[in-house]
Amino acid sequence: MADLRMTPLFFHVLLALSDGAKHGYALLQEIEARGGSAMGVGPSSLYYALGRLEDAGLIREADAPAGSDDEPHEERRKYFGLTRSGRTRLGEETRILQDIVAHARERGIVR
Amino acid sequence: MRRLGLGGWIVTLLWRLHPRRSRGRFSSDLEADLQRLHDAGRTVGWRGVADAMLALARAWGDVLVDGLTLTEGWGEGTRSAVRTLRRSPGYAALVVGMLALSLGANTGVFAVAHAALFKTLPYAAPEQVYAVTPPPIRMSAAGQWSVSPDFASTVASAALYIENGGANLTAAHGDARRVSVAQVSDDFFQTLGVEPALGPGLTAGGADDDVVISHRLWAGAFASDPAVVGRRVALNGRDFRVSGILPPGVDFPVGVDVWVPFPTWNDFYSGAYGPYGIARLNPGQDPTALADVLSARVREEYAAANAPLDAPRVRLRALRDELEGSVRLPLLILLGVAGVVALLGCLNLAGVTLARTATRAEELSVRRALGASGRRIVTQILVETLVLATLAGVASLLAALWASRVVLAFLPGEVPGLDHVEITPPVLIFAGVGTVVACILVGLVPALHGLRLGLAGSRGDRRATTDPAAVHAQSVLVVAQVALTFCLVAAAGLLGRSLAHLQAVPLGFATEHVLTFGIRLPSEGYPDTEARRGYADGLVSQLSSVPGVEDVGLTDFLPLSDHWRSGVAIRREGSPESDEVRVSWIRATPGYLDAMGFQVLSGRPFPVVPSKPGDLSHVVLPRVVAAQLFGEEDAAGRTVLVQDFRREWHAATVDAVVADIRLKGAEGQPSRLMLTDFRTSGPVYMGVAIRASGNPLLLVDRVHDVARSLDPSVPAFDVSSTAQRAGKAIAARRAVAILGMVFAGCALLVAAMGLHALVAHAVTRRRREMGIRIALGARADRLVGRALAEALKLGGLGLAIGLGLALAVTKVLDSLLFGVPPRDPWVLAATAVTLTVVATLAAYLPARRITALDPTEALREE
Repeated sequence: MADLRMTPLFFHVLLALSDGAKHGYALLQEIEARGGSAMGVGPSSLYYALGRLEDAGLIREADAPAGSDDEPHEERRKYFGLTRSGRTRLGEETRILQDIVAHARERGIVR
Repeated sequence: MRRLGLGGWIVTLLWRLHPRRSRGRFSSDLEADLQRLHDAGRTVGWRGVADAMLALARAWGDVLVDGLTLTEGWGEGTRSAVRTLRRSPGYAALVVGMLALSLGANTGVFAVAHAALFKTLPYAAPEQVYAVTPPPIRMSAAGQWSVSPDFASTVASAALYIENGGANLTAAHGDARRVSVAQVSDDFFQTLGVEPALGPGLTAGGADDDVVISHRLWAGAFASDPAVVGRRVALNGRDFRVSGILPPGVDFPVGVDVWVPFPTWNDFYSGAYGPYGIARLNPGQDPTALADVLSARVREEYAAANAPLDAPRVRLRALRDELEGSVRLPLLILLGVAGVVALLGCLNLAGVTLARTATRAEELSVRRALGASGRRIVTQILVETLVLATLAGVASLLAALWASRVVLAFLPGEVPGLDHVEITPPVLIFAGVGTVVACILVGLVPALHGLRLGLAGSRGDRRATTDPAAVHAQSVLVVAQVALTFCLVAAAGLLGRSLAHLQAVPLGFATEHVLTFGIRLPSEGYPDTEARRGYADGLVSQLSSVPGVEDVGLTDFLPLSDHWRSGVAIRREGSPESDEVRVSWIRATPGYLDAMGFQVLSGRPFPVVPSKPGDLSHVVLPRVVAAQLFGEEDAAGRTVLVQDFRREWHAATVDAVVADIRLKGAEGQPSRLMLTDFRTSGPVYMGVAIRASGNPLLLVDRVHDVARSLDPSVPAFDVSSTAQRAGKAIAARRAVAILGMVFAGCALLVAAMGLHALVAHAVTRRRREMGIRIALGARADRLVGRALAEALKLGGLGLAIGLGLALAVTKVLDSLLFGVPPRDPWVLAATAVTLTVVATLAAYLPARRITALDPTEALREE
C-alpha cells in the first residue's frame, strides 16, 4: 500500500503537517490559507485524504502539541503528524516539483 | 444532534456512506469541524456538499480498485487452493456435497415454481386478460347467452365460455377417445389473445359445426398431420369439421382439447358449467374500478328482477392467478423452506471453514511471516471456497433435475406447464446466483477471520488457535442454525400433523380395492331411457364376469369428481315445509353401495327393483340427513316427503341409513345427500364402481376392453382407483407436508452437524487445558458435563430464538393447515423436545472424547 499516487491535496496535507501535528480543522484552515480553497477542499475531502495517508503510513495520529489552541471544554480531537516515511515522501515530492519548476524556468515560462 | 446547518447535515449524512474503514475513524472529527465552521459563521454550502460527494466517489473508487487488485492473485490462488483442498479431501467432499444438495434442492424447486408460476403465457399481453365471475350476460328469447352489450363496450373485448366436461371424440378411423370440450362465444380467442397455428379457426362468420383443437390433441390423436384441418370428426356422435389447431401451450379452460362455437348444441348443456366470462381490459384500465362498475350495474338489473335476493358481486381475477390455482402457496412455501435449508447449509459450512481456518492459524501465520500479504491470505480462503462452490454449483444442476422430478411427482398435474420441467436460462441464472451467494456466505466470515489471523501472525502472536473471536463467530453460527432448524421442524410438524388429521377423516367410502370410471352415452344411438338401460345392464353383467371383480355398481355421481349436483328438498312427513333440508340427489344401484363400501347403519338399501321409471318411493339417507330429520330415532322404515325437480312432493320410505359420506373429500363436511335407486332411471352419464379382490388398477385394461366390446364409440374415461382420487384431492397438501418433512430432516441433520463440529472443535482446541485439569485431579465426567452444558446453552438460546421466529412465521401456513392451529402448542413442544434430544446427542458424542484423554499425552503434545 506504500505506493500512493500523490495528488495536490495529499501534498498540501503533508506540507501543512511538516511543522508539527495538527488537527483537522487547523489543517483545513491552513490549506485554505495557502490557496487550497482554489481546489475546493472541504472537510469530507480532507478526512478522506487523511484516511488514505494514514493507511499508506505517511501520517499517523499524534499527541496534541504542548500549548495547543484547543479550548479546554472541547472534546478530544485527533491530531495528525508526519511519519518518517511521510517526511521522506514529502521531500521526494518537493524535489520533483523543484525539478519541474527549474525546468520551466529554463524555458522562460517564469522568472 | 448539534446544529450544523443543512449543508453540514448533508455532509455528515454522506460521510456515513463511506466504506467502514474511513467512516468510523473520523466521524466525530468531521462533525466537530463542521460545527466550528458553522460557529464561525461559514455555512457549509453547496460547495461543501459537492466536495462531500466527490470524496465519497473517491473512497468507493479506491475500494473498487483494491477489489480489482485483489483478483490479481487469483490465478495463483486457484492453484494453491486446489493443492490445499487435495490435502483435505474430507473437507472438500463435505462442502461440495452439502452445497450441491442444498443448491440443487433450491434450483429444483425454483425450476418447478418458475414453470408453474412465472412462465410466459402463450397469449398476447396476458396481463390484460381477466376472468369475470359472474359475467354480465343477456339471454335471447331463444335461450341463447351473449355478453351484455354494456359490459362488452366497457372493455377491449369480452367473451363467454361454457365448460362441458367430457365428450366422446371419434375421428374417421380409430377408437373413440374422451376429450374435454368448451363452448366459446365469437370473441373468445380474440379476448384470450391467441391465433390458430393452422387453419382459420372459429370465425364470426364460420359454420356452426366448426371446431378448434388443441396442439396436444393434434399431436396425440392425429399424429400432428396438417391435413387434419378440414377433416370431419364426431363429438358424442355428432358431426363436426376441424377448422383450426391452436399453438402449443394454449390451455384455457385448463384441460380442454376441443373448442366449439357457442352455443351450438343443447346436448352439451347437460353436465355443463357456465357461462363464465373473460375480458381483455383496455391498456391501463383498473380491474378493481371495473369490478365496481359492473357490480353496480348488475345490482341495478338484479334488484328489478329479484327484489329480495342479494345481487352477486362481480369479481375480476387475473388470468395468471386463475391458472396458477392452488399450487401457488405450496410452491412458494417449498421455495422458502428450501431456501432456509440452503442457508442452514451455508451457515454450517461457514462454521466448518472457520474452524478449519482457526486450526490453520499456524500455517497462515507462517505464510504471513514469509511475506504473504493479508490480502493474499483472504484471497486464498475465498478462492478455496469459490473452487468448491463452483464444483458444487455444477453438481447441483444434476441434483436440481432430480429434485424437480421429486417435487413434480408429488404435485397434482392440474396446472398447465407442470407436466415437464427443464433447465432453462432463468433456472441457470438462479443456480449461478445461488452459487455466488453461497460462496460469499460460506467464505466471507472465515476469510475475514483468516485476515485477522494473518495480521496476528505478523505480530508474532502464535497462540491464535484459541482466538475467542473465532469461537464467538462459530457460536453465533450454531445459534442461527438451531433457530432456523426449529422453525423448519415446527413447520414440518404442523404440516405433518395436519396431513395426519386429513387422512384420518373417514370418507365414508372405500379407498382400497375400488376402481371407478365414467361412461357417457351419446344421444345418437341411445335416444331414450330404454336404450341406455339396456347398455347399463350389459355393462354390469359383462364386468361382473371379469375374474377378480367382486361387486359392480352404477351411479350418476362419483365421489371426488368435479361434477355438480342439483339439490332437492326433503322433509319429515307431517312437518311444515319450513323444516325442509336441501340435499343432493344421487342415484345408485345396491351393487354400487356394496362396491364403494358404504357402511349400512340400519335397514337394507333398495330391496326391491322399482317397478316404474322415475320412482321416488324408496330412499337411502346418510346419517347426517337422517339425524337432521329424525334426531336420535332410527330413520329406517320411516316416511319422508321428497320434492322432485318439478317441485312436487312425493312420499318415500327410508330403506336404510348409511354412515356419513364426504363426496368432496376429507376437507369437506359430510355431504347432505339422498340416494335413490339408479334402476329407476337411465341417465346419459354413468359412474361405475368395481370392487376388486386384488389391486384394482390391474383391471384397467379389462375395463377398456369391455367398454370397447359393448360399443367402440363409447370409451370408459377417468379410469382410476378411489385411492388415486382421494390422493389427488389432497396431493398439494401431501406434497408440502412430505417435502417439508424431508427438508426439516435435512435441517435437523445439518444443525446437529454444526453443533457436533463446534463441540468437537472445542475439545480438540482445549486438549491441553483439559489435560492439565485432569492431571490436577478434575474428573473427566465433570469436564464432559461442562462441555455439554456450554453447547446446550447455545442450543437453548437457538431454541428460544427459533420459538419466537416460529410463532411469528407459521401463520403463513394457516391456509394449508387442517385441524391444527398454526401455533399448535403440541407441535411446538414436540419440536423443542426433538431439538433438545438431537442437540444433546450431537454435543455428547464429541464431548465424550474428553474421558478418553490421556493427560500425559495431551501435555506432551506442544
